[in-house]
Amino acid sequence: MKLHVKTTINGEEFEFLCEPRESLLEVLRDRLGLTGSKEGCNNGNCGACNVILDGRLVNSCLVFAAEAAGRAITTIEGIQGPEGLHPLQEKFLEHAALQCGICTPGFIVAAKALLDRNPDPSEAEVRLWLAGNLCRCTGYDKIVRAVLEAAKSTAVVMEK
Amino acid sequence: MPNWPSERQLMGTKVPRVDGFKKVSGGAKYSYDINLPGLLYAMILRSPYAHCKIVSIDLGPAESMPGVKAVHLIKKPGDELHYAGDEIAAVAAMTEEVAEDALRAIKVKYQVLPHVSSEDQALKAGAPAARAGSADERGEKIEDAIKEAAAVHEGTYGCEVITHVCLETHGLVARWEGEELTAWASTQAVHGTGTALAQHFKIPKATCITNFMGGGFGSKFGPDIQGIVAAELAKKAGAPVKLLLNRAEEHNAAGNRPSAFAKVKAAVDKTGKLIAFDAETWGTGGHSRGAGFPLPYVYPVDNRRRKHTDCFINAGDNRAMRAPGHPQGSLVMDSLMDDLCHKFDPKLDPVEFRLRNLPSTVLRDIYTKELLLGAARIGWKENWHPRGDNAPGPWKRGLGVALGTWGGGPGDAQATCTLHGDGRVEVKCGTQDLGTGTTTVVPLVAAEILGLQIGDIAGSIGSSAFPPAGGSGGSTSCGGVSVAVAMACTKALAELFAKVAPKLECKPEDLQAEYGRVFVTGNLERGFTWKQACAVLGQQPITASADKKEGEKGMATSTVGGAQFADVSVDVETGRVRLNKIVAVADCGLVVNRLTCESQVLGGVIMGINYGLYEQRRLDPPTGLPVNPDMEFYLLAGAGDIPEIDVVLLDYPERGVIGIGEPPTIPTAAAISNAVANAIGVRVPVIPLTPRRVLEALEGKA
Ligand code: FES
Ligand code: FES
Repeated sequence: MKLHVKTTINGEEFEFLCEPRESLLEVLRDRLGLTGSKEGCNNGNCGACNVILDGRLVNSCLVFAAEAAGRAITTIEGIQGPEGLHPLQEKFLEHAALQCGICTPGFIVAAKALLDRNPDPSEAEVRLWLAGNLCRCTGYDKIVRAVLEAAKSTAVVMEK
Repeated sequence: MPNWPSERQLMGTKVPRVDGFKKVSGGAKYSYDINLPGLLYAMILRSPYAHCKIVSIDLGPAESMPGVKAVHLIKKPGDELHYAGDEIAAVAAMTEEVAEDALRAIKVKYQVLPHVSSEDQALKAGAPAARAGSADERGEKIEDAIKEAAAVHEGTYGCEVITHVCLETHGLVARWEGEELTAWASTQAVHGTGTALAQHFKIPKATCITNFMGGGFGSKFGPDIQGIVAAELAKKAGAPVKLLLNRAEEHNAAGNRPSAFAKVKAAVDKTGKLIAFDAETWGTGGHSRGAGFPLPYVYPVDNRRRKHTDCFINAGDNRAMRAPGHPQGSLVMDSLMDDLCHKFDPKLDPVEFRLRNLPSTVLRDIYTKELLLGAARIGWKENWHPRGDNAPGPWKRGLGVALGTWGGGPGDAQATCTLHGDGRVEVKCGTQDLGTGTTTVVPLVAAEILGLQIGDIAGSIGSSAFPPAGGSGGSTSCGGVSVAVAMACTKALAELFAKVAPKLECKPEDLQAEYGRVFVTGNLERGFTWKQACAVLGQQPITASADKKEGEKGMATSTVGGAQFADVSVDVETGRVRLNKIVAVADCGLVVNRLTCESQVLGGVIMGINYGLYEQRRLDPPTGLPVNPDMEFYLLAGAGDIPEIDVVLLDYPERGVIGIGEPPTIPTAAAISNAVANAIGVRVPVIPLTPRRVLEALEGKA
């Protein structure tokens, strides 16, 4: 049996067919070609598959694709604005907050969800929020710095 | 003799990754992201027992399942399976779900055999699995030296098995077009993997492509079983096949760092110099591989003896892991040094004790500098106290230090540099980027030599179609690749100079390329812009090839030393260790890219923190099955567990380029262990330093 699902991804309408047991991550990657979301563990422990679902940060490997019906999803491919990279992406580049980069989409999506609800987080808040994301090349130091800097620069933009 | 330019514009500066844009925007395509038309998904059936024999196997039900396109037998009836996770058979199907169902449908009868799941079991008399390893004895006076020593210390130290946990698991996507095989593999060696696949299938050539990869840490040098199997399935099915391991398979079957245990007796003379060393060591590297590690380590001792035993157990085999053997050697040796120093004179500063015991090699000066520099950065003078913090309250603070060493040196590499008539520059090298930053090293070095900007260079790596380069292991890529690229660019430039010189009425050797211009040395005006200069080539581009051997002397070096310091607080009521700060002084020679070099050191240190405090592969003794092949119960540090890390890059440009992937991960765990001993007054002998182990040490049970 296949399910027919209509959803919004990065502001665009999408329709797809999937099996009931398929995860959102699988559908994004294998059916819709959105391979920016990564699979590190497939059981909710690494955060590489993070997406934002109706404003909430989720592990897409733990969400059934069918649950996406009628909802709005933001993936790493949708973080960038029409004017170019999001400040988070810029700061990740500038601060070398990425090595192999396979954890990077998950960290950026998680950080975006944080800044959306708390534009001026403390260092401790950033570290706590990112506890669900693992980086084996272990760029944590620079990642935390990049998120804090991005928060600062978005604050400046908002003041202007 | 070829050498680096004495005044460098780009090398040693901070250069953001040239492929960073793709990585932050989700556009970077890793092997796992390669989706080809008609792609099939493959999975492997694995042994459910720690040790068993296959009695019979029936693939039929899987073969006849709708959606299954190929089935491949890896082991046959009668074969022994050596660990839970050992490969049996594989299937390729239209979806992952169907592949999973097909695995369940395969009927296997097993004969369960007795298993061994720990070093202790393997060492017990009568256990078939233990094997005596090597023995090494030098100097004749061990017993005499111990008798006459000013202090003797005996201790047991150890480290557990850990796994690589690459965030991108092992595997590849295989596609056949007639007799031609292409593999998009997560590998540290595109050439090695391509060659191994070609040999297996007896075909002239297989192309291996790795544009992006999610970490390897020593575990990804060839196609492995799963790579060969994927290519076999693709051949049978007549369609491309993707086979990447899942997280549990990655833990169980894709390599690990062996455990290491040591019972050591060592002595110092009245000047505090090491004079005797007697060790029995053992460890496990899985069911068929050893668990060797260097010991004594860093600190030389003339009279020494060592007996080592490899314990074979029913677990996956080890693979090289970030500085193979060295973190173990460092943990044992530097813990011992601290304990010995304390025994010799509880008030003696362990930094001073180490200074007295440094090797008389090129590293003596480097270690001395590093120890003094690092001690100043961690606040050693102000905060070091003899063992045991007497401060009131449960939190005890302590400082620790440890040293590491590594070989490295320039690895095999060839490169080509092509200069086009329109000014374009292409540089190709068949190396790969594991996340270390090699993709950026190539254009950075080329731009330095050609006097251009990084954006002017089209660098290409990550394919076995490019000039051969060795696997990225042993911290040898940066040295080898940068020298090969520099030599290829130097040669191409010389050819360009020969063509440009007549137009400027000068000799080619009078020319220089810098600031985006080609000009007569000393007269920037008497010359051309790079584009104008290249225009002399017309439709005839220059391509120069070079091998790193043409320039390596002095341009890249081996034999490195590093020092790290840890500042910790330990809660003696709960046994929890909290890190306050780590200082890592890294011997970097000529830094190529300061930004990624720092990242490598940070990453190495954090991996060392994981090793010292969290990671441990656990097997269940009664069943021999892995207990934590995941990211939940296999503990790894997150952003909140990391203290301030002060990275000091010890620039030594005259030493040439030094690979930095491995050295910084070596001494971290030992420095932490020493800091904990300094804080609580007793040694916690085995890492990871879990709360339980800390409490046991405090109670005198360890
Ligand atoms: S892949 Fe979803 S949390 Fe790891
Ligand atoms: S950059 Fe490799 S896992 Fe984070």
